[in-house]
Amino acid sequence: MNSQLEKIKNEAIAAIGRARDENTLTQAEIRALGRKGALTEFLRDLGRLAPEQRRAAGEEGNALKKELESVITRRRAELQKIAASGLAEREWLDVTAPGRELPAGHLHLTTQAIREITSIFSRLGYNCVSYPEVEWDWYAFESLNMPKDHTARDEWETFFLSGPSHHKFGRLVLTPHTSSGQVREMERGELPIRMVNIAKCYRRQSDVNHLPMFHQFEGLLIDKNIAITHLKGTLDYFAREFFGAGRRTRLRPFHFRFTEPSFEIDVSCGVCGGTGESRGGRCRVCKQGWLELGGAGMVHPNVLRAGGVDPREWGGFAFGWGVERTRMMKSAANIDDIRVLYKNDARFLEQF
Amino acid sequence: MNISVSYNWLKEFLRCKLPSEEFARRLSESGMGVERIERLGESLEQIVAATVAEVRPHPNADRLRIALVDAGKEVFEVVCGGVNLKAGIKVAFAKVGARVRWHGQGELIELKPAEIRGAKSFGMICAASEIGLQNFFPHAEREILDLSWLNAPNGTPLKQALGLDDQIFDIEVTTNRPDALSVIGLAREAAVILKTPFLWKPPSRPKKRAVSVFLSVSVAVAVRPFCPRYQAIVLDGVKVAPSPWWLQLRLLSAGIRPISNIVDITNYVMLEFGQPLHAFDYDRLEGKKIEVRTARAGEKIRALDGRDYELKPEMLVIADAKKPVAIAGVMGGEHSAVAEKTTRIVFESANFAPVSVRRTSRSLNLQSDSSLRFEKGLSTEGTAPAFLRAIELAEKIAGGKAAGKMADVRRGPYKPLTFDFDQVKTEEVIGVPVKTAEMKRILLALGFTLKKKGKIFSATVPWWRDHDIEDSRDLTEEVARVVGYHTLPSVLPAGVPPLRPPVPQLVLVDRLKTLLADAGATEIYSYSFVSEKMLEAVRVKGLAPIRLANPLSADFVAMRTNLAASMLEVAAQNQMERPAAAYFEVAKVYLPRGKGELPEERLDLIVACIGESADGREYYRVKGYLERLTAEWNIHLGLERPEDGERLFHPGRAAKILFNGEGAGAIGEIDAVVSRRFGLERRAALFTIPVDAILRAARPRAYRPIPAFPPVKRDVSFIVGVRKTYEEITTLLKGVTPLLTDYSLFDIYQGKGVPAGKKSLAFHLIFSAPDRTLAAQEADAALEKIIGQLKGKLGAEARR
Repeated sequence: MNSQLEKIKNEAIAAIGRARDENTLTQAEIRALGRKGALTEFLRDLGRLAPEQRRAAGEEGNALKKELESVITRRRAELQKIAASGLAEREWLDVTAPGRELPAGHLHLTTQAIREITSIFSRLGYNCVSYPEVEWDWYAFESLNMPKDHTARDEWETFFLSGPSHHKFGRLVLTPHTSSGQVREMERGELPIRMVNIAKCYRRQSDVNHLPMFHQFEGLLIDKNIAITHLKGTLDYFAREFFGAGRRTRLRPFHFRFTEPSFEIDVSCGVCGGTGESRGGRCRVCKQGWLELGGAGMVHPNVLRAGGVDPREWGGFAFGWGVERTRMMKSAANIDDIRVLYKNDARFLEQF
Repeated sequence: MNISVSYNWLKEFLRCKLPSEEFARRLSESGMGVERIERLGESLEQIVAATVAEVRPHPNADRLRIALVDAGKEVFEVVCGGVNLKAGIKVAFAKVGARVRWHGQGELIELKPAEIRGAKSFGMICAASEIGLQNFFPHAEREILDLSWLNAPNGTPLKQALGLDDQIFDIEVTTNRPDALSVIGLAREAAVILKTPFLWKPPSRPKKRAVSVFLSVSVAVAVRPFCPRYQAIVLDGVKVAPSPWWLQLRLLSAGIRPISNIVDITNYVMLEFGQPLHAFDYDRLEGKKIEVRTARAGEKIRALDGRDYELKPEMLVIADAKKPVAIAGVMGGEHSAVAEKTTRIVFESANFAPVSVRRTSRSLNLQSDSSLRFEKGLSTEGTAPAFLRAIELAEKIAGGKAAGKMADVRRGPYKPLTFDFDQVKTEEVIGVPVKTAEMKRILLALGFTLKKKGKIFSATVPWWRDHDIEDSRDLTEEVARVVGYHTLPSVLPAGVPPLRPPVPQLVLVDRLKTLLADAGATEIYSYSFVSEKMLEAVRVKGLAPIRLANPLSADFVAMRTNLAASMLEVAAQNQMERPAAAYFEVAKVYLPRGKGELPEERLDLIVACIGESADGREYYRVKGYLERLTAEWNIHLGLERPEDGERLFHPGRAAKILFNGEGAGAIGEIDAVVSRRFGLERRAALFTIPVDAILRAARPRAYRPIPAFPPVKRDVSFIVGVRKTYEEITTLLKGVTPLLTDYSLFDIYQGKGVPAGKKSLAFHLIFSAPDRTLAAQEADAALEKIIGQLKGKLGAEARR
């Protein structure tokens, strides 16, 4: 073998043997096989040799290159193995220590409830809309078949606002229900209608069960050939999606001025399974096995007329209920004073 | 309004043997919602009527005695401490095995044979509260219950002896159905729903008979629209006494306290018929005259509740020749009330207009069973049957005899309402076919009369429904509900959903909330209305808020015009528990507009950061949220110092927010004076913008090719005067050379190593060219040029 090659080989093998870690090994590799390495330069300088020596030296040089490469590969594997064997000890971590904290905020329970409800109805093709909270008497009451001085108005303990009345639409009120959006929606003049209107509502009340401001949900469908059976289908769909497959709904006769017939919607109680009895006694959560979800009904022809819709051609139904209450019913979260929802105590907000 | 009704009473008018739960379910499904069933006498097992045969002293105790109790087949020896215990009285006797509540307190406990201070005792002589009857015997709560008046053989179960073998339904009756706020009304409903005969018969007129002294009362109605009908009669020979037990029991189970037979009759008939009645002491009526008129200025009345009321001229009263004797439809007066010595009475059965009764009741803040019924709207035809029933009962249990003619003053003859009933339309609304025979059965049983009118029917409304049945659609509801909504199938509507794009603002808010919460802010919901104090604390110049005309409390007097006040209140409230926090709210503010216009309801976003350090960190934290959202919607964010600092903000730490160069909102640290108003002891910084500003400024993203050639990076610090801003430096920086394609600030430093009055801003600079790999020398040359410019224009000294 060429003496020069011999020297290169011995030095390289020695260096590889001396290497105690991957870094030193890489340095040894670079010294022999790198761009300016000894063997690389030898092969580059072959051209200077006489043609008869050139071929043999070339073959020997290339063979050495292959040999060194394979020695290095083997040695690298050895070194990696050695390195790995002590790794568990050297780089031991307390894997149970807490992770690095990421910023984490919270969406309010009401926002979460609104999202759940709207997503269910959007699957049925309902659009989310938004209408005024400060509204004329006409939209809040009169157009909903509740003439002035009608006793039905007393059911809504309404906030009135100071300020001049409208010559046609009457006083300014804080909407006591989302139903005030019904006629506004019809006035857009686009039929058929499938809308959900979720908004803040206001009533003069404040106790453990009532908030002066709360959120109500209103669904309105106007189309041709609409019957009570369709309302039932829609509410059953909602109840199953929102509360779970095992829950049933029941429509009970009720009275609202803006729907006829009118219903109250009950959902079977999740605590007693709709039996009205739990642990040998009367269920504390429900009334005879049912929980009141909200109100519903077939839109009153007078309301359709007020919205410029011909009741001989079109019909529909509306339904609505309190968002907060519905969420409570689902989680069976025993919030004994509903006012905690809007007290904004961080210790409450961060629970959800 | 809820009504408590005895099942036994209902069954007087029904042929019905259903268990109470089943009855309640059927009624709820098709009529009125039964919310609760109370089982009377549930805890009266092993308790019997018994006579105290003999009383002996207790050998070892002064306060206790030994009673021998005759319970029919057996005689028991019982130790008893009741002070009113004496031989011969009839008592409620709890045998061993009965469940009682000791001294009316705690849980029910089963009685066992006992030895009390050396004497054996087999059972207990009970007080009303010990066996759950305190509501039925409110006067005798503590002592043992004296039932000597009870005509029941010894050993009779107490439940039967007292007629407590009954269930009481608590029923919610909707406001449109005052006819069903009565036993007869509910029994009629039940009969229709259960398809069983309705057994009620209208009372007949009292038999004419010779009257020794003819007594009459003259009735004049001055305000006919407020009093469409007034009936009155004088009854003589009345003996006022406690009512018989059966009548008392019915009142008690409906939650009404028995007073005396005449008063009890008026209440009993009201419960039975739904028609309020009143009884006057005839001898207390000045001039033997009844006038229905509005109150005169300055008139007062002491009502039956013992309180004095000042009457206003729009209020309707019943007056004698001199003074008001009752507030019409609301409450009678004390002066003319039936008392123990009364022997001659006037029964009133009248109809008052709902609007009038409602206004008077609201205005006096006085509600009664009577006013609650009248204000829902009763028929003028309801007065007569109730009137006759009251006379009949007064004769039967109080010895009263009609002493003169019945007065009946009415506005005019009664005209029943008539509406078309279309079976086809009804079926369309219900959604399934219903047999014509069944529809007819329902309407007839409810009291309608039907007449064929071509293909449809003409339906005449029974008088007791003349307020709630307003058109044909109401007839549809009657049929539908009795058929039963629970029997109908569930079907999803088949129509094509309307094609309408989602409302952009709602979509944006949804995304916005998620983004802020994910970035560490907690969402709050605060009230739309605020207190005077909060209005004062954060005042928006030149903006008069919209005020509530009838606020509930001083906490809520006006609609808010900004979200900052509520936010600072929340921050202050949580500062002890959460000294460092970030909150946000998306809510409307209410800004007045011109006359005849609704206010502008502007949806605003507010984000606030709270912390303890005074070095401006909260400002930068909250600005981080602002930058996060401008990046999300690809908005160019600019900040400008406000011309005259808003009172809300720290004078040196506030800015106007510009979106793509246009004013969008404000950001800043809260001024210490403002913080103090909220008791906020920490630093707070916030920004607020209308949500629509984001919507308007949002820009679509354009594709930029990924650079094909590697960039060259250089770090450099500029040392400048402390009042020089980041924006001044970067504005210059950007304009020097196109080879500078990106930069970012990584440190601001002031202190050791930097001269006094100066600060150091350290940047990463990125140089690149679109068409080639930039050589190091080119980048260095570009950097030199930048350094030169900054030195020249800002006096910046560069350190590499």
